[in-house]
Amino acid sequence: MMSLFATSIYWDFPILLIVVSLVYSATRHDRWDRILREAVGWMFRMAGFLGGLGLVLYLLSTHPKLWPYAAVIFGIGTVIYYAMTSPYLRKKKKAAS
Amino acid sequence: MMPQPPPRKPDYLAAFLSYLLPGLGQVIQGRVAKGLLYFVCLYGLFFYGMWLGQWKNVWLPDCAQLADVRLPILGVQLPNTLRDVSYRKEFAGQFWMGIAVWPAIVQYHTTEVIDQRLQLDEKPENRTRPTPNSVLGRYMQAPIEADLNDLQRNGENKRWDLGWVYTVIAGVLNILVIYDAFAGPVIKDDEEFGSEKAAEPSASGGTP
Repeated sequence: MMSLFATSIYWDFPILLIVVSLVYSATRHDRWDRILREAVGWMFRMAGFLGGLGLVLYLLSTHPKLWPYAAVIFGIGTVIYYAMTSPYLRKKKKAAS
Repeated sequence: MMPQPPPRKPDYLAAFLSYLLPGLGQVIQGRVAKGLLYFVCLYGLFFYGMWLGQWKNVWLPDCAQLADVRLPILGVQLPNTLRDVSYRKEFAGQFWMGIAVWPAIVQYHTTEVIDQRLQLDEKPENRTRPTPNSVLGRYMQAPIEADLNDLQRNGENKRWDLGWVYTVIAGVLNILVIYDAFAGPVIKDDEEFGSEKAAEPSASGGTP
């Protein structure tokens, strides 16, 4: 696990996540509260997706025989992640209540 | 049903200014903080990417010497500039950073073409490189193939490769910023529709 964090390329990603989420959100709204709220949401979504993907690829590269487990975990993780963050499902839930 | 806000007037001047300098169009529209956010974020990302790439990842080469680039695409022989952009596709994204990439365009038009095939087996100190520009030096000048091979082979942790990705993302994000200056934010329910403030046109004739 140590080598994953020792690789310096990973430390360059936060600036990308911050800039992309802030600029993208600012092009969608003019109000700062909405810009910041959407930017934080995008930041977590991107960090979660990229982090999950990075972790699965790291595990595959260090434990190649575990690939079926890694694929199942990634699939289940993606479904749970989508269910938790999807605006469509959130809206549906809100309408139902 | 919610009333829809009136359509905004397209602001061509602000869009052009935002192309030149990210956020400048928003500043002249009175959205100063947003303009500054765009400027800091995009210039920060662009020059961070250039730094990662050792300041050698924003350039447009003249491909006159490269035989394989002269091949027609779908039967059409591209004009020289399009041919060169098709060889260095990254520049199509970087171009949208405006003034920041103009040195690359100046270098493209002023740098002489040299035969690079002879340089590939030379040691770095013996290679013949194009003459530096009198003002820009080698800033954004297309590196010779042998130097690029060295950078890719000897770079640490692929950071050199990551650098151009950042510059391209910055350029592509600026297209969104240009559109924001041109037609306002995508979600238009932000403004207080029905209030006097929303009804008044801005000084530049664009978005409030």
